[in-house]
Amino acid sequence: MTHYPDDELLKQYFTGDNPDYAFNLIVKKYQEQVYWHVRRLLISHDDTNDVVQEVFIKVWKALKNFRGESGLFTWIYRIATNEALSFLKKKKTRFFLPLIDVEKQLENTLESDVFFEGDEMEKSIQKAILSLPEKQRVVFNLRYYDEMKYEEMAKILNTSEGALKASYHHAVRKIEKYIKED
Amino acid sequence: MNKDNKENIKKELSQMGSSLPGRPKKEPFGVPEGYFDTLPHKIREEISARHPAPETATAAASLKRRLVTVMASFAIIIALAISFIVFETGTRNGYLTGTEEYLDEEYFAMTMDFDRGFFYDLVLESEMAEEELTYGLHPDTDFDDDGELIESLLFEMMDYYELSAEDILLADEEFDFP
Repeated sequence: MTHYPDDELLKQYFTGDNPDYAFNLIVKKYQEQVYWHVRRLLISHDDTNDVVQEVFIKVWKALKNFRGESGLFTWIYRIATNEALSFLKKKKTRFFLPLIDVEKQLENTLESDVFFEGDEMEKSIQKAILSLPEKQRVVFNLRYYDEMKYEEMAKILNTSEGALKASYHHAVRKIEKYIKED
Repeated sequence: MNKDNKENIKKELSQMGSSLPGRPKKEPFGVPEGYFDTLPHKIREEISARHPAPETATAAASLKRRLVTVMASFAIIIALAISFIVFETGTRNGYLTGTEEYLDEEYFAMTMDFDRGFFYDLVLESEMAEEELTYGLHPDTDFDDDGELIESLLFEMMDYYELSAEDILLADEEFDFP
């Protein structure tokens, strides 16, 4: 499916006759990327579905005030990252679970996920990713799976490129160690 | 992501001496069939559910207009009734219980269905209605009592449409009545 460039979509949203239609095009353009980004963090499809809907509702509410200081893609990814992390935080608070238990819960979800289509190696990598601290997990996923440039990641996570590089290196090391020991 | 970046990432892993295979060609997670086809629609539905178009004020405006019509119609009915009663005072002493019940039923039907055409049919077009009205009211009818009846009818309608007096007074927009 061909997607319009972001500036064209924003032009349609702000100056066109039908902003709802333009919003719909934005959803269609970014829904898959946002979904996979959130899914890698939350593992469960149902949780991801809830969060992704929440992300786009937030986008819908805030889009009229979007000033274009960051790119549309960066802005949506930032909202998605914040929503996913805050979902995990709420989950921990709600159930008074220590960090390890939520991660264990995510691992159990991964093991029992009927939609998981990867091989054993891929499952092992996913389990290793779940053993990382949350922010490191986000950094690894953005770089490894979304193949994002550090420059872009820095805008989304509001961190320096140097810190992101270091974080990614640590994450790779830990994942390899986990896989060897698994 | 562009191909150059993909290569950079592979190179980076290799420089780190990593044995990680690189990004899989296919997402390891799956989704229910057709999920992405329906997601934009679900999002729109969720937005509509959480942020419905404002309509309370418009509903109230319409009710206000209709209530005015009802009151005007009642005024016509009462005026007609008065003229008949005044005309026939002293000549009739009958009391038609059956006709009163009929009128109560009509009031009730009107409250529930609220068809303003009913009034015009009743008063202006139907000779039968005129006759019913003429004979339906006791010659000694106290119109203050009828005023209470009209008032209670209006309150019933407000309850039925779940509107407050404030809604009716503040309303000023068009709305298609349910």
